Amino acid sequence: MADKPLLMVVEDDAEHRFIMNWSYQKSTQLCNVLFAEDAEQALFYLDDLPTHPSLMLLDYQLPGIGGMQLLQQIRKSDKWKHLPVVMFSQFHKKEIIEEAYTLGVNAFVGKPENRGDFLNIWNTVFDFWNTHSQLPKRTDQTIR
Amino acid sequence: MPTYSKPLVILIVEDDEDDRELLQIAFNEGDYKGELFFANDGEHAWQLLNEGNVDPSLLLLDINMPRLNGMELLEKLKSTLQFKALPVIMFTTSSNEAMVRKAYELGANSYVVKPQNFQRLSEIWEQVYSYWTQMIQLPSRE
Repeated sequence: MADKPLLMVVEDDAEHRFIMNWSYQKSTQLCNVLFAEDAEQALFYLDDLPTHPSLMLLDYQLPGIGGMQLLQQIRKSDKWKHLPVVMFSQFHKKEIIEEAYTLGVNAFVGKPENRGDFLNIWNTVFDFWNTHSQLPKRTDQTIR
Repeated sequence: MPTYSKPLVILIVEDDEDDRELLQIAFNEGDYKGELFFANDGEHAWQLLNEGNVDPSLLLLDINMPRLNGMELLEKLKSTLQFKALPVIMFTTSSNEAMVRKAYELGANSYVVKPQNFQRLSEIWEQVYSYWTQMIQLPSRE
Protein backbone atom coordinates (compact mmCIF):
# COMPACT_ATOMS: atom_id res chain seq x y z
CA MET A 1 0.00 0.00 0.00
CA ALA A 2 2.81 2.39 0.89
CA ASP A 3 4.25 2.24 -2.62
CA LYS A 4 1.07 3.41 -4.28
CA PRO A 5 0.99 7.08 -5.19
CA LEU A 6 -1.18 9.23 -2.99
CA LEU A 7 -3.96 11.18 -4.61
CA MET A 8 -5.41 14.17 -2.78
CA VAL A 9 -9.01 15.02 -3.66
CA VAL A 10 -10.17 18.52 -2.68
CA GLU A 11 -13.97 18.52 -2.73
CA ASP A 12 -16.33 20.38 -0.40
CA ASP A 13 -19.54 18.63 -1.42
CA ALA A 14 -20.14 15.68 0.95
CA GLU A 15 -22.34 13.88 -1.59
CA HIS A 16 -19.67 14.15 -4.25
CA ARG A 17 -16.99 12.95 -1.82
CA PHE A 18 -19.21 9.97 -1.00
CA ILE A 19 -19.71 9.11 -4.67
CA MET A 20 -16.01 9.57 -5.41
CA ASN A 21 -15.06 7.32 -2.53
CA TRP A 22 -17.62 4.77 -3.70
CA SER A 23 -16.21 4.98 -7.22
CA TYR A 24 -12.71 4.60 -5.84
CA GLN A 25 -13.71 1.48 -3.89
CA LYS A 26 -15.08 -0.04 -7.09
CA SER A 27 -12.06 1.02 -9.15
CA THR A 28 -8.76 -0.78 -9.63
CA GLN A 29 -7.40 1.26 -6.69
CA LEU A 30 -4.03 2.01 -8.21
CA CYS A 31 -3.50 4.82 -5.74
CA ASN A 32 -4.26 5.70 -2.14
CA VAL A 33 -6.71 8.54 -1.63
CA LEU A 34 -6.90 11.38 0.85
CA PHE A 35 -9.90 13.69 0.89
CA ALA A 36 -9.71 17.35 1.88
CA GLU A 37 -12.99 19.15 2.44
CA ASP A 38 -11.74 22.57 1.36
CA ALA A 39 -8.62 24.43 0.29
CA GLU A 40 -7.62 25.29 3.85
CA GLN A 41 -7.59 21.63 4.81
CA ALA A 42 -5.66 20.79 1.63
CA LEU A 43 -3.02 23.41 2.50
CA PHE A 44 -2.80 22.02 6.03
CA TYR A 45 -2.22 18.52 4.63
CA LEU A 46 0.38 19.81 2.15
CA ASP A 47 2.24 21.68 4.88
CA ASP A 48 2.04 19.20 7.72
CA LEU A 49 1.49 15.64 6.57
CA PRO A 50 4.58 13.43 6.34
CA THR A 51 3.02 11.62 3.38
CA HIS A 52 2.91 13.77 0.28
CA PRO A 53 0.54 13.51 -2.68
CA SER A 54 1.71 12.74 -6.21
CA LEU A 55 -1.46 14.10 -7.79
CA MET A 56 -4.27 16.44 -6.79
CA LEU A 57 -7.84 16.35 -8.02
CA LEU A 58 -9.22 19.81 -7.32
CA ASP A 59 -12.78 21.06 -7.44
CA TYR A 60 -13.13 24.45 -9.14
CA GLN A 61 -15.84 25.71 -6.85
CA LEU A 62 -14.87 25.68 -3.19
CA PRO A 63 -15.97 27.87 -0.27
CA GLY A 64 -13.38 30.31 1.07
CA ILE A 65 -10.21 29.84 -0.95
CA GLY A 66 -11.48 28.74 -4.38
CA GLY A 67 -9.97 26.11 -6.64
CA MET A 68 -8.20 28.68 -8.84
CA GLN A 69 -6.71 30.42 -5.79
CA LEU A 70 -5.44 27.14 -4.39
CA LEU A 71 -3.96 26.28 -7.78
CA GLN A 72 -2.15 29.64 -7.83
CA GLN A 73 -0.76 29.06 -4.33
CA ILE A 74 0.51 25.64 -5.35
CA ARG A 75 2.19 26.98 -8.49
CA LYS A 76 3.92 29.71 -6.47
CA SER A 77 5.21 27.25 -3.89
CA ASP A 78 8.76 26.00 -4.34
CA LYS A 79 7.75 22.88 -2.45
CA TRP A 80 4.65 22.09 -4.51
CA LYS A 81 4.90 23.74 -7.91
CA HIS A 82 5.68 20.36 -9.52
CA LEU A 83 2.47 18.74 -8.19
CA PRO A 84 0.17 17.73 -11.07
CA VAL A 85 -3.30 19.20 -10.53
CA VAL A 86 -6.37 17.94 -12.37
CA MET A 87 -9.22 20.41 -11.94
CA PHE A 88 -12.79 19.29 -12.24
CA SER A 89 -15.87 21.40 -12.55
CA GLN A 90 -19.48 21.32 -13.59
CA PHE A 91 -18.83 24.62 -15.37
CA HIS A 92 -17.58 24.12 -18.91
CA LYS A 93 -17.20 27.78 -19.85
CA LYS A 94 -14.24 28.25 -22.14
CA GLU A 95 -13.06 31.28 -20.14
CA ILE A 96 -12.77 29.13 -17.00
CA ILE A 97 -10.95 26.38 -18.87
CA GLU A 98 -8.56 28.88 -20.47
CA GLU A 99 -7.84 30.54 -17.12
CA ALA A 100 -7.19 27.20 -15.45
CA TYR A 101 -4.61 26.20 -18.08
CA THR A 102 -3.02 29.64 -17.98
CA LEU A 103 -2.64 29.36 -14.21
CA GLY A 104 -0.96 26.00 -14.59
CA VAL A 105 -3.55 23.27 -14.24
CA ASN A 106 -2.38 20.00 -15.76
CA ALA A 107 -5.78 18.93 -17.03
CA PHE A 108 -9.38 20.08 -16.78
CA VAL A 109 -12.19 17.52 -16.46
CA GLY A 110 -15.93 18.13 -16.58
CA LYS A 111 -17.58 17.01 -13.36
CA PRO A 112 -19.79 13.99 -14.03
CA GLU A 113 -23.48 14.10 -13.33
CA ASN A 114 -24.19 10.50 -12.37
CA ARG A 115 -22.49 7.61 -10.60
CA GLY A 116 -21.74 5.69 -13.78
CA ASP A 117 -19.89 8.67 -15.23
CA PHE A 118 -18.06 9.20 -11.94
CA LEU A 119 -16.81 5.62 -12.04
CA ASN A 120 -15.83 5.96 -15.69
CA ILE A 121 -13.93 9.17 -15.08
CA TRP A 122 -12.33 7.81 -11.94
CA ASN A 123 -11.03 4.75 -13.75
CA THR A 124 -9.93 6.63 -16.85
CA VAL A 125 -8.26 9.53 -15.06
CA PHE A 126 -6.38 7.33 -12.63
CA ASP A 127 -5.53 4.73 -15.19
CA PHE A 128 -3.93 7.46 -17.29
CA TRP A 129 -2.05 9.12 -14.46
CA ASN A 130 -0.96 5.92 -12.78
CA THR A 131 -0.23 3.74 -15.76
CA HIS A 132 0.65 5.92 -18.72
CA SER A 133 1.87 9.20 -17.28
CA GLN A 134 4.91 9.45 -15.04
CA LEU A 135 4.12 11.20 -11.76
CA PRO A 136 6.72 13.06 -9.73
CA LYS A 137 8.19 10.83 -7.07
CA ARG A 138 6.65 11.33 -3.65
CA THR A 139 8.81 13.65 -1.61
CA ASP A 140 8.54 11.52 1.51
CA GLN A 141 10.00 8.60 -0.46
CA THR A 142 12.80 10.78 -1.79
CA ILE A 143 13.78 11.93 1.67
CA ARG A 144 13.81 8.46 3.14
CA MET B 1 -17.58 14.36 -23.38
CA PRO B 2 -15.84 17.54 -24.51
CA THR B 3 -16.86 18.99 -27.85
CA TYR B 4 -14.59 21.11 -29.99
CA SER B 5 -15.62 23.73 -32.50
CA LYS B 6 -12.46 23.20 -34.54
CA PRO B 7 -10.79 19.96 -35.60
CA LEU B 8 -8.24 18.69 -33.16
CA VAL B 9 -4.69 19.61 -34.13
CA ILE B 10 -1.71 17.96 -32.47
CA LEU B 11 1.81 19.26 -32.95
CA ILE B 12 4.47 16.60 -32.42
CA VAL B 13 7.98 17.88 -31.78
CA GLU B 14 10.34 15.02 -32.51
CA ASP B 15 13.80 15.04 -34.06
CA ASP B 16 13.91 11.33 -34.91
CA GLU B 17 12.55 10.76 -38.40
CA ASP B 18 11.63 7.11 -37.71
CA ASP B 19 9.67 8.09 -34.59
CA ARG B 20 7.79 10.76 -36.55
CA GLU B 21 6.90 8.22 -39.22
CA LEU B 22 5.80 5.59 -36.68
CA LEU B 23 3.59 8.10 -34.86
CA GLN B 24 1.97 9.07 -38.17
CA ILE B 25 1.37 5.38 -39.00
CA ALA B 26 -0.12 4.73 -35.54
CA PHE B 27 -2.36 7.76 -35.99
CA ASN B 28 -3.51 6.66 -39.45
CA GLU B 29 -4.14 3.06 -38.36
CA GLY B 30 -6.21 4.15 -35.38
CA ASP B 31 -8.66 6.18 -37.48
CA TYR B 32 -8.30 9.11 -35.10
CA LYS B 33 -10.00 12.41 -35.73
CA GLY B 34 -7.90 15.49 -36.24
CA GLU B 35 -4.63 16.48 -37.83
CA LEU B 36 -1.02 15.85 -36.96
CA PHE B 37 1.71 18.39 -37.59
CA PHE B 38 5.39 17.70 -37.04
CA ALA B 39 8.34 19.84 -36.05
CA ASN B 40 11.89 18.50 -36.30
CA ASP B 41 13.11 20.14 -33.09
CA GLY B 42 12.24 22.80 -30.54
CA GLU B 43 13.45 25.66 -32.71
CA HIS B 44 11.33 24.47 -35.64
CA ALA B 45 8.26 24.17 -33.36
CA TRP B 46 8.85 27.65 -31.94
CA GLN B 47 9.01 29.05 -35.49
CA LEU B 48 5.84 27.24 -36.59
CA LEU B 49 3.94 28.48 -33.55
CA ASN B 50 5.16 32.06 -33.70
CA GLU B 51 4.56 32.39 -37.42
CA GLY B 52 1.03 31.04 -36.96
CA ASN B 53 1.64 28.12 -39.31
CA VAL B 54 0.06 25.75 -36.84
CA ASP B 55 -2.49 26.39 -34.09
CA PRO B 56 -2.43 23.19 -32.02
CA SER B 57 -4.81 22.02 -29.30
CA LEU B 58 -2.11 19.83 -27.86
CA LEU B 59 1.65 19.48 -28.13
CA LEU B 60 3.65 16.26 -27.81
CA LEU B 61 7.22 17.12 -26.96
CA ASP B 62 10.38 15.04 -27.07
CA ILE B 63 13.17 16.17 -24.74
CA ASN B 64 16.50 15.26 -26.31
CA MET B 65 16.68 17.33 -29.48
CA PRO B 66 19.27 19.53 -31.21
CA ARG B 67 19.11 23.35 -31.34
CA LEU B 68 16.30 23.91 -28.82
CA ASN B 69 15.60 20.87 -26.64
CA GLY B 70 12.23 19.92 -25.16
CA MET B 71 12.84 21.42 -21.72
CA GLU B 72 13.99 24.70 -23.26
CA LEU B 73 10.95 24.88 -25.53
CA LEU B 74 8.65 23.99 -22.61
CA GLU B 75 10.12 26.83 -20.56
CA LYS B 76 9.68 29.29 -23.42
CA LEU B 77 6.08 28.22 -24.05
CA LYS B 78 5.04 28.38 -20.40
CA SER B 79 6.58 31.81 -19.94
CA THR B 80 4.89 33.26 -23.03
CA LEU B 81 1.33 34.47 -22.46
CA GLN B 82 0.23 33.44 -25.94
CA PHE B 83 1.21 29.80 -25.43
CA LYS B 84 0.95 29.41 -21.66
CA ALA B 85 -2.39 27.61 -21.80
CA LEU B 86 -1.32 25.17 -24.52
CA PRO B 87 -1.23 21.66 -22.99
CA VAL B 88 2.19 20.08 -23.39
CA ILE B 89 2.74 16.35 -22.99
CA MET B 90 6.37 15.37 -22.61
CA PHE B 91 6.95 12.28 -24.76
CA THR B 92 10.41 10.92 -24.24
CA THR B 93 12.39 7.75 -23.66
CA SER B 94 13.77 9.07 -20.37
CA SER B 95 12.00 8.20 -17.13
CA ASN B 96 14.65 9.86 -14.99
CA GLU B 97 12.98 11.06 -11.76
CA ALA B 98 14.75 14.41 -11.70
CA MET B 99 13.72 14.99 -15.32
CA VAL B 100 10.08 14.15 -14.55
CA ARG B 101 10.01 16.54 -11.61
CA LYS B 102 11.76 19.29 -13.58
CA ALA B 103 9.27 18.95 -16.44
CA TYR B 104 6.31 19.36 -14.07
CA GLU B 105 8.02 22.32 -12.38
CA LEU B 106 8.39 23.99 -15.77
CA GLY B 107 4.69 23.45 -16.48
CA ALA B 108 4.43 20.19 -18.42
CA ASN B 109 0.85 18.95 -18.39
CA SER B 110 1.83 15.31 -18.33
CA TYR B 111 4.86 13.13 -18.87
CA VAL B 112 4.64 9.97 -20.92
CA VAL B 113 7.52 7.58 -21.53
CA LYS B 114 7.96 6.73 -25.19
CA PRO B 115 8.01 2.96 -25.71
CA GLN B 116 10.61 1.22 -27.86
CA ASN B 117 8.39 -0.97 -29.99
CA PHE B 118 5.58 -0.12 -32.39
CA GLN B 119 2.87 -2.25 -30.76
CA ARG B 120 3.38 -0.52 -27.45
CA LEU B 121 3.67 2.85 -29.18
CA SER B 122 0.24 2.32 -30.76
CA GLU B 123 -1.23 1.39 -27.39
CA ILE B 124 0.28 4.39 -25.63
CA TRP B 125 -0.80 6.65 -28.47
CA GLU B 126 -4.37 5.39 -28.13
CA GLN B 127 -4.34 6.03 -24.38
CA VAL B 128 -2.86 9.50 -24.73
CA TYR B 129 -5.19 10.44 -27.56
CA SER B 130 -8.38 9.16 -25.94
CA TYR B 131 -7.56 10.63 -22.55
CA TRP B 132 -6.66 14.08 -23.82
CA THR B 133 -9.36 14.35 -26.47
CA GLN B 134 -12.29 12.51 -24.94
CA MET B 135 -11.91 12.97 -21.20
CA ILE B 136 -10.14 16.29 -20.85
CA GLN B 137 -11.47 19.75 -21.63
CA LEU B 138 -8.78 21.45 -23.67
CA PRO B 139 -8.45 25.22 -23.98
CA SER B 140 -10.34 26.80 -26.86
CA ARG B 141 -8.33 27.58 -30.02
CA GLU B 142 -10.60 30.49 -30.99
